[in-house]
Amino acid sequence: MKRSYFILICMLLCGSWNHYAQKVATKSGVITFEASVASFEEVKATHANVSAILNTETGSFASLALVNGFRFKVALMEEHFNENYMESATYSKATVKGVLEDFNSESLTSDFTSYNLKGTIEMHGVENELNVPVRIKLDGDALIVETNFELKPEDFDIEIPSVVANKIAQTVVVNAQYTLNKL
Amino acid sequence: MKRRTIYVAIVLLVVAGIAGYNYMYQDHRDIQKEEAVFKGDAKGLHKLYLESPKEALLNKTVIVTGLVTALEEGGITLDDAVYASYSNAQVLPNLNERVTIKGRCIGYDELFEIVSIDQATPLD
Repeated sequence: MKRSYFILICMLLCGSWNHYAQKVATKSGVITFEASVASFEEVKATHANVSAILNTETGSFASLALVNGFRFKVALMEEHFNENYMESATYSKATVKGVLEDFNSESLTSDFTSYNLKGTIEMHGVENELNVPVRIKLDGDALIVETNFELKPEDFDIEIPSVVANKIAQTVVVNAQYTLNKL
Repeated sequence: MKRRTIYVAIVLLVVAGIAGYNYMYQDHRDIQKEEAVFKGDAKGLHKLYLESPKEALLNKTVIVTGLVTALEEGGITLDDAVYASYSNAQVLPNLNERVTIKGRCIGYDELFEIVSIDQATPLD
């Protein structure tokens, strides 16, 4: 009888542990990047179908943006972005993989907690190390994840022709927002 | 003669300016008016995407039918095989509803192992 109680308690404990050892994810994350230069046409795009998965037990995080999904205000700019710069027919995705250092899902609150995401970013067929601050908070059952960081096109072998070089900022400002829900 | 040359130059400049502006600010693709390269169910599109060369479906217009197996903010998953984000101001269907949508295939999402579509609108 005592053994049955012991097994039952173990099962309940495992159940509650599994509650935290799970993945949260989204298919509708939003990434915006901007490389505008004052007095010239705005160079800005938004992608609202970015997927992401976070393992709340280990802090492992992965995000994937299909390059064709970036939308610009100016159609011609979108065409040039895909065909000339990102070559999205060949390199169709941009990915981030990494670990949120010292992540602890149980310490999350409705106020943002800052973590450091250490991993890699791959786009245009080039992989680089990534080390960026990430803010996370609870919103009901969901986790809100936000980050801002800067990238340089040259680090990903993206050539900006000299004709337009003065109209595109050398540093691209990236903003990402995810609302992650239980899978 | 000189005045005529100036008039011609001005007209040419105006025409070139209008042509340049129209080229610079051409309209975005209207997916709803485009011919679809694929018409079929969500699992069929998933299978075809994995079996075909990337360029066969990437950035192409498709019509897909399936059961809504998940709802996201602004998008739906069909038969756990295709994710479609809706164009602005479109009302999303309900879970377990069978729908047909038209949109643009933007690639394969390896995280969820699904084909991704954007600018989707429901077809009657």
